[in-house]
Amino acid sequence: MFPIEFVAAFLGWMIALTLVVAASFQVILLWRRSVRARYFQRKDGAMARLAQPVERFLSGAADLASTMRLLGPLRDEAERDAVAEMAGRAHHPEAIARRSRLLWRTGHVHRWAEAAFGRQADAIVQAAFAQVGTQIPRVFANARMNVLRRRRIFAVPRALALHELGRLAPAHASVFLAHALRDPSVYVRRRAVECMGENAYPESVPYLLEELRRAVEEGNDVSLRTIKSALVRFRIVDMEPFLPFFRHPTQRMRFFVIDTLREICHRAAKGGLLGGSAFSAAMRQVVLEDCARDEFADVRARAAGVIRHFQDAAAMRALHTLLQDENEYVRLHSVRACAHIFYKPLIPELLQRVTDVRWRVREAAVKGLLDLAPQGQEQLYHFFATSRDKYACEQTAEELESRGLIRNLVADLAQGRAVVLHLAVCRKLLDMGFTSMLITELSRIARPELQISFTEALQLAPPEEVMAVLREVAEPHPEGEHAGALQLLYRGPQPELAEARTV
Amino acid sequence: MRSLLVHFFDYVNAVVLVYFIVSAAVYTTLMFISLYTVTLHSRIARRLGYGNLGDSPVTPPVTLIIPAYNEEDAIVQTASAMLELNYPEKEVIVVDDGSTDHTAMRMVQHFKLQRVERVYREFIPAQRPLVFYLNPEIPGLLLVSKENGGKSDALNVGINIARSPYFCTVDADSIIEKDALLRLMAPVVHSNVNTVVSGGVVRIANGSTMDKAMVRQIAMPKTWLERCQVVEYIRTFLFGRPGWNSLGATFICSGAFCLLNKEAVIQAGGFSRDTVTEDIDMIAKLHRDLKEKGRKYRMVFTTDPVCWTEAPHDLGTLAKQRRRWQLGLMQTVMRHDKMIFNPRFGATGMLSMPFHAYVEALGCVIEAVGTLLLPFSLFFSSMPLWFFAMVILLAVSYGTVLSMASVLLADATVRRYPRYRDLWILMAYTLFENLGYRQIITFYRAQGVLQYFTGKHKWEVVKHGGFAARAQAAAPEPRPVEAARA
Amino acid sequence: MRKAWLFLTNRVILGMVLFLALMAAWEFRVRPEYFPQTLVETDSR
Repeated sequence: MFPIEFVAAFLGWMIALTLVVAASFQVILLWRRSVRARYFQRKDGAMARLAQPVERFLSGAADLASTMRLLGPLRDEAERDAVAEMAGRAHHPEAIARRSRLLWRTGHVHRWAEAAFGRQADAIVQAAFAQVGTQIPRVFANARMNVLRRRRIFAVPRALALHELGRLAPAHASVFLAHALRDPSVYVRRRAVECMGENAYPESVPYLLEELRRAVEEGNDVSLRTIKSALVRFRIVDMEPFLPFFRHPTQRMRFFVIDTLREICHRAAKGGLLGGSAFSAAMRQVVLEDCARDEFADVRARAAGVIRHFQDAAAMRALHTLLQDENEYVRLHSVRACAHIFYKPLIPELLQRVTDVRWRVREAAVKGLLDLAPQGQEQLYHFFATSRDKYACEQTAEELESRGLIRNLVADLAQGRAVVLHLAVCRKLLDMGFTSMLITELSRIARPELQISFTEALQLAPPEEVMAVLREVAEPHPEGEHAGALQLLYRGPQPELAEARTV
Repeated sequence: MRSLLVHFFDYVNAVVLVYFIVSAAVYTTLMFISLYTVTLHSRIARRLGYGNLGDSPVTPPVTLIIPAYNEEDAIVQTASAMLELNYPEKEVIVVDDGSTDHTAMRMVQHFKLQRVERVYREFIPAQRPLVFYLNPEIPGLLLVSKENGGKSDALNVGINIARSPYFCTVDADSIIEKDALLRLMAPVVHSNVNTVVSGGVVRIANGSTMDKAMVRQIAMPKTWLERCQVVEYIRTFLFGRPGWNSLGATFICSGAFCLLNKEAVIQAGGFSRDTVTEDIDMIAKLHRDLKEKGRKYRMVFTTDPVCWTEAPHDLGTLAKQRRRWQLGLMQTVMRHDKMIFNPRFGATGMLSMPFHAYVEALGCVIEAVGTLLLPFSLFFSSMPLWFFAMVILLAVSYGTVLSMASVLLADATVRRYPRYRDLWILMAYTLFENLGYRQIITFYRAQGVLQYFTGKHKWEVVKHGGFAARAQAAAPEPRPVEAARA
Repeated sequence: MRKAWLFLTNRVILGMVLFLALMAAWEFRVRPEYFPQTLVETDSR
């Protein structure tokens, strides 16, 4: 073992080391702060000085040559970042195009390309400038270097540089992003995929589909969600390259493409329906004939979400079939797909789904019928008032409360609209014990005969809270208008009950 | 006899020394790993943003579950903040766990909730809720009242009601930043392996100025106790947990702000009701359940989502808190002891679980005993005074190094203390924290361990005062540039 | 009885006991004499 002097020296050195390290951390902290403070000061100064020429150029009020003269040589990182940040505020496509031109000329693009692509930067920059999507090989060169290049410390600067390149005009950016898909680091490739989605440039779709295919069939460290998130930003017309994939031998691939198309349609429709003209004939055919009859239930399910947008007789027939599917998810998605007034002929089928064995399908059917007001809602009320299906009725009652439709029911009753039906619905709610919201709404209306009718109904099975309230009202003052409450309490309505009511 | 005494005290000192060497070695490793990962992650997080997640239909919906017991001061503000979070699809469930104050009434009055009936489906055994409240005009909010059953039971009820595939546990007295949920979800979306847990950073809000649900001005608190806790939290959340996360050995994610996969939690049996730190226990349960079922999964911890919480102002409250945490840690490591040095559980079983069991859970007892016996050791032990002095000096300076490293990390992340004065205070407290505060906390922790062995398994009631500065901010709106730098 | 057995075979307890036992063995058997046992020497004189 070690002599004591060694231990003492070791301890001494360790103490000295820790003190030096602690001091170094302090120095680094303070140095970093002061460097950043100086950097931001210079950047603020540059932004104040250069804001006007940049804004004038982006708005088209000045040309590139005069803007470059006004900007002058950008001396340091702060000034370059200031110009890049100000140019980055452009959102309009024309402004983005002008922004790209400016950043090419100031040398930003070259700098970022060097950071992102290293020695290959020049060739890629030329290809991007020419907006030529070169043939990009799938093989990653030099596997051993890739182990190092995958490390975060090297990958993060590349990812940040690519982030800037991805914000150039889509025609240029797509070339950079396509090349970046070869990068060994997931940070860089993920950023490339995300930028492709943000730009939604049609030329990028085949690359994203290839990433999707790799993710499904071979494994891809860029996640399926990230790829799908990028794909759903495109338009339907950009989805023509998808067509062969609807018949892909791998069922998961078919699922992802139809689900992506469904999300694109949903996003484009903004709550409505797109109409058949939004789709090409080939796409309509493949969705109706292949996807709607696919052996994989998830594909059929998602197909319903696309078919609804066709808004024609073929769509009606297809949804009619899918509503009867053996698989619960297909039924669920089909029910959701029918929740539009165009599909009101399918109300009887939706009513059948209210008694589905799966509660999610029941719930979706109830919501769908309520969305198909007034016919769907009316039919649902009829069903609810007369049905003995406990689960279906529970689902309906819950939905009526959640949507605040109880208020509408009571208001309609107060105005004498559809009295028989609405009263039957309210009685059913009372029978089932869904009384809370009903009692609240009832207490607000000034129609005594309606209140009496309900309180009579409550006598059949009064909830404990109601009994407590009645006791509180009646017992201290057993005469006068409180007699009514007392009678209700002891379940014996008196003729003067109606006269005791005041408006 | 004297020889025996000398040997005994030398023995105690040797045990303390070995404990110190082991913990120092592990913390040093974690420090280097965190310095690397946290700074690089911050660079990316600061520049890239999460806008594309915010408007993507692919971003999964999330249920925010807020268990509340006697939180009348804070609950309305917390619920409002949750509703305003920047996230595409979310629902908020507040579970009033049999509060004896006006928690439920405040919610009902503020949000104009109405009582409704709901079909309650039980996936995890829990006490049945008594009443549901909602406002049809605020579709994303539901208040559930039930009899008191503890935080775990309240969470389980929330899970039973939740509609989303993921849920986020939020403490009733926490403030979550607007983008925090997006940041918490980002690793889940970006991963091609099922991410069952995503944890975020909890920072101390004491001293900072709040404006409704936002932190307007980050500043250090005034009292030494709170300042020490600031340093401690920064150390825990910016290098302890990221370090373990990088090794794939996440063991703790704070329940104050944690995203979990609902299905995985249900399969694991939900939150345990017989533990005082259900968040730690849940992580261990998930590890065991998923490993037993052979499922591939991932647990992550990211340093940029931020939850602000109020730290105890006084020693009494701090003591209760730390005893509870230690008791909970003991319960978890003792219950899941089969994971220790079990290669089936990968890095969690071989690295973080043993470390948390022997160093974090039981090590405080060694440290407390060593501290208590120090005067006797000085007299009886064969180790000379200079040796003691050097070891103590080394321990203090090493502790300062760790804290200083975490302060450096904090300065590199998105929520730094902008004022130089606060920075100086922070740096000073990296040293002061080791002179008294740390020892006090060690004793509280040792009491928690003692509570475990003497059979105490219940919560000590901690009274929250609510955030001290939740009134409308007097501070002016920061300039956009400053805001971006903060 | 079973509870006591479970407790004693718990890996946390076992590990700690093992560690303390190993340290004790080192201290009472193996530890080199770094520091003079001044009190012992004083007594023996």
